[in-house]
Amino acid sequence: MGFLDTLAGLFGGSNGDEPDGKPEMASCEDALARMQEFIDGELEGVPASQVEAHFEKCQACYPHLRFEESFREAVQKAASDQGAPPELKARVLDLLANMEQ
Amino acid sequence: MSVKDPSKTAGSPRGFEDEALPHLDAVYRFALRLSGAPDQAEDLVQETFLRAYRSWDQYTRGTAAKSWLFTICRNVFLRRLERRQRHDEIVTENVGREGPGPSPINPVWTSVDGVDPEGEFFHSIVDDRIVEAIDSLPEEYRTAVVLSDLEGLPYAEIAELMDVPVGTVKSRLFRGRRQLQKVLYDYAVEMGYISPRTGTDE
Repeated sequence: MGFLDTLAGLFGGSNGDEPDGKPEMASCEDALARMQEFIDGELEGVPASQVEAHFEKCQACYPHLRFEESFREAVQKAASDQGAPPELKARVLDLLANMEQ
Repeated sequence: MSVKDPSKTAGSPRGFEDEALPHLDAVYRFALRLSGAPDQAEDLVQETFLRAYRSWDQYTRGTAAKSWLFTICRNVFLRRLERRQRHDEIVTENVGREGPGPSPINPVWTSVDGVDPEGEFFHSIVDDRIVEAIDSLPEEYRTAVVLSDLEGLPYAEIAELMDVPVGTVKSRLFRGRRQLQKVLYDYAVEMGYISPRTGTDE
């Protein structure tokens, strides 16, 4: 699947008006433009199922979604397990205890 | 509910312990990504909890305590940065004009199309290098990406925290993530995890 295919998809490859009667599916252009909001769970004005249906069925767009998800997973895994050092917790508790007096 | 009900404000050290202290790890993570240095992060966390404790009567119970603490933490960080900049006349990288949105076609994705279109290479990169790449982003992008991708905050809370419209949050996330992908892609090419496309179409 090359870049040209993606472009072709963008400019009318599948425009949501397919003869097999799936008008509820978003177009390539819509799906890619809304991909960030879709992944973030922040879509507005269009049901997530429409965008999801597009990514499930469109071979040109699906890798874009996977690419983005792979990126997010790697970032989350790399940086989300750091916790405060125990000494810092103890120091904050001490600080607050002193303020109460 | 914008009207503040006095019975709903925590006000007591007891409430503070239950509602604010459980977020200490998250505030530390956020402070670490803001400052990029553990000693500065620890300092930020102490200052944040001190200030939070002092203004605990202004916090309305039931609202997002984590976001409230993040807001205090970022304000302390930015004020210190400002002071240091005025002092040393350091000009840090600024986020450019937020003009027309970038193309929906991701240039990094285009570079890996035909080689690794599903971005498996991201998983070859060691955690420390990814964290370093996050830390290299301009603050406006970094904060948005950290709050969304690491802390899972919704757009509306990030907007309130950064004091910008939701549209700006979306744009900063979009640009920040693209920039981060580019840094990670360049690193992956440099390390030989992925070979750059030769320019010819397969």
